[in-house]
Amino acid sequence: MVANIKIVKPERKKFNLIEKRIRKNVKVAIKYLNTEYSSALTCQTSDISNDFYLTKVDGNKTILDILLEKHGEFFNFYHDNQDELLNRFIKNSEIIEIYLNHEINIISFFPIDKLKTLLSIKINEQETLLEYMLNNKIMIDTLYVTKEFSELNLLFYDYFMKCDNIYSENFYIFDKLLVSLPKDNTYELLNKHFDYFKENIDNINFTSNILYYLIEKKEFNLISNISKQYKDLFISKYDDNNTFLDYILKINPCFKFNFSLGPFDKELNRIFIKNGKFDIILKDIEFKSLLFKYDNNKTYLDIILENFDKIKRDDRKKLGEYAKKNVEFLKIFLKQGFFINFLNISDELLNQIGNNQKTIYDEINSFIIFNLKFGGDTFKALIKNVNISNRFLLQKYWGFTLLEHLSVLLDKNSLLNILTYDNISNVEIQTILRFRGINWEEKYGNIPMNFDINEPLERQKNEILKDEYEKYYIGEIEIEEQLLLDKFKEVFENDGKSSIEVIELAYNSFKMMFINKNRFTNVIINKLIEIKISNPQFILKKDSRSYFFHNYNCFSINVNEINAIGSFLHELGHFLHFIVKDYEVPNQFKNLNIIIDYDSLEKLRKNYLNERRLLEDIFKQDFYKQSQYTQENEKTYIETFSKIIERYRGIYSDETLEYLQENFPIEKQYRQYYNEVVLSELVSVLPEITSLGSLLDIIDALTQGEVFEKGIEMGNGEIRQIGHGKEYYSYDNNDFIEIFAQYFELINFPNDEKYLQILESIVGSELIELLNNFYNEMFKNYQNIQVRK
Amino acid sequence: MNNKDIYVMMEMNYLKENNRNINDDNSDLFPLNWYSFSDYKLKTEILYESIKNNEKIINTKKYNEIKNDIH
Repeated sequence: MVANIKIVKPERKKFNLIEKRIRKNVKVAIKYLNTEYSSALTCQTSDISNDFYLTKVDGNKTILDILLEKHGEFFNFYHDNQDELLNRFIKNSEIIEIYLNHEINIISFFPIDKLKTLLSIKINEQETLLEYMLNNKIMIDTLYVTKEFSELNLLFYDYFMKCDNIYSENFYIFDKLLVSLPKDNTYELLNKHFDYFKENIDNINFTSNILYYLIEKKEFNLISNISKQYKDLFISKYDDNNTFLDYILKINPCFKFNFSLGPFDKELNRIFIKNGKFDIILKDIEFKSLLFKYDNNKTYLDIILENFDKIKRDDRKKLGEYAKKNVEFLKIFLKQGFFINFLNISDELLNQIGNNQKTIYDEINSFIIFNLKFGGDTFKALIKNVNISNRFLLQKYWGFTLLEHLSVLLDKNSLLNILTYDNISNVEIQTILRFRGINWEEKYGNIPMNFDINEPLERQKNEILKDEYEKYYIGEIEIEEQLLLDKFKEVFENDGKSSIEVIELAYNSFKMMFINKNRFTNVIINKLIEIKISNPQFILKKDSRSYFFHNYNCFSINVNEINAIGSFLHELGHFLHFIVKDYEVPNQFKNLNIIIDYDSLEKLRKNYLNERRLLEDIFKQDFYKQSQYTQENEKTYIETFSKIIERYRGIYSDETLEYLQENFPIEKQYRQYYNEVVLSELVSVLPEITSLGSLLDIIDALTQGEVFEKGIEMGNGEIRQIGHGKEYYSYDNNDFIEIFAQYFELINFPNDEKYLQILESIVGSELIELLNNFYNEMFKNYQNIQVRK
Repeated sequence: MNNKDIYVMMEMNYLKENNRNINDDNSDLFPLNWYSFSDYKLKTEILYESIKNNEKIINTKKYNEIKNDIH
């Protein structure tokens, strides 16, 4: 080490006479030794001899001692002639000792090329200066070696090779020397002082030579303990084909570092990955950082998943669990084809966007479809060990739920093994299992049905309803009517506030009215367009319930209810009554004397109940299936089928049952046809139930809520409330307002004449005439009135 | 399996006997309001009678007995 001593160089004084005299005469020198003039003696020129300096002045002290005490710090600078000083040292080593005694850094007096000479000077019979300093721990801090191996370093090397113990004070120089040594010397030095090396390993500066040595000695424990700062050593070349780490892993496959690697240790990670040491990468790593890029196209996770079979079971499990919480992780799993463990992830994850702009749900769904089609035994084996959420179990594929497919694919026990308590508590799953003859009680005991999780059935119902609505609108309408409908749609769609769904509903309702050739359809549409143009604030609003409340600006419809068309017509009736007639009640209505025919009313009630029950039955899905028909299992299929039919012996005529046993349906066609029948039933029931409901409401209004005050009995003891209740009718005119809206709904629905007849049978013709006249009068002032009926 | 299942099976056979496909428009094969009538057992027997005698539903004996209840 070059001592970095900062010394302020004093201005050189001109030698005056006294100074000259001092340098020439020892006696004069001694006289002036304690004055400022003595500094003249520190300038070590050849005219001052060693003997002069070594002259004893005061007991043991030499002149040099006194000068060093007084002017020690200046000596460095006055040694202009290093060769002369070195010669002085060589001639008399006693001088060196005096310098060292005064802790003067003589090493710093000389450039590197002179140090070898200096340090080789014999101080006594046994020791050179180097040995003297190192053995006696004198001024060790001032010693240093060069970075590259040099003659100077060789001196030190020889010293360490000779000595048996290295003092802790000498560690620094030992460590620096090691760094500079060639391979052979490193080996020899380490052989000589290996214990010392091991003791101090934490502080050693590692080099590739040391690493070579440790590898050769198979000291892998020591290598493992290497500090993380030397990690780059392991990437450097061991031989032409291997890096150090490659080579170490080849001869010691269990090797790992005691420090943990991070995602930024790309090269090391790459080597571990190349050698299949994934557990090293996964040890202690924060999983999130596996999303870092490994190269341009891949993340670490990609690489790990590509080698999933080489990964420990525990790590696989942990990675999988993590993917169920982190969507980015999950995306990579799915991209790499890992689907099977994600059939039970949360809805929240399923709804997120995954790869290729598809939702995670769609991606997993495609996987299931593919496997049900082509998966075969592989899929069968895979699916045996996974849990599946109800959402997938009840998802339909080619008309059957996944659960139904699985019940064919797997044996009973395997199926029960994958079903969880949550799965079985679902009402639909229980139903399917029951029909398949699969008992879960042995495994789970009695599980109460959970009716809340019924979403798939609800979805299915909405799909059926959508189809069902279409049946209303099939029919021809005239070109002008179509143009008017298009205009209506355009005017409302462009306001940006009206609900598209309500507009669609209105469009379909008007189309139905055109098809049924109802009165004033075109007038009503024109009126709405006119209102919209004169009052742009007017909008068709979507809400959680349908209502109109004395409002020029909107009416609101719940488009999701089963009879949305009926609701739309009803609220439209209110709106028109309000806008066109300002809720006027005709005088005749107040004087109307109505006698209710209770027998006819009872008949109406019964009809209504029948239809209601039918409607509710339609949505009760029956899961008919005991076994699935294929050509191979035809015999068993027929046997099972016959057994079921036998249960109906005595209920149906024998002939009928025998006919069916001979003409059994193939299950797939049967399922398809079952839905057709459900649709036909819905189409026949819905208008009926809407119109019968309107009739009941009219009678409710006529009696101001009295008739149905206590609700109506559904035939099974259940009481249902219908109508608006007595309080609603305690307000003036509410009865007529309600009757008109119901009448408007009734006459614009299919088969209105039939229902008007029923109404007549209950309340007589007077009311109907009054309503007809009132309705005709409402639009009499409007142009283009077309009474098409 | 319930009465409705048996009825649906019988209706499929009824279509088959009439050389119809289940995807065709088959409304002409059924009387008006046939689907708003929910006695599946009776409807099954009517269909069987129609198949057996190769006659239209409205001509079967059983249908004529109950047709006034179907509105």
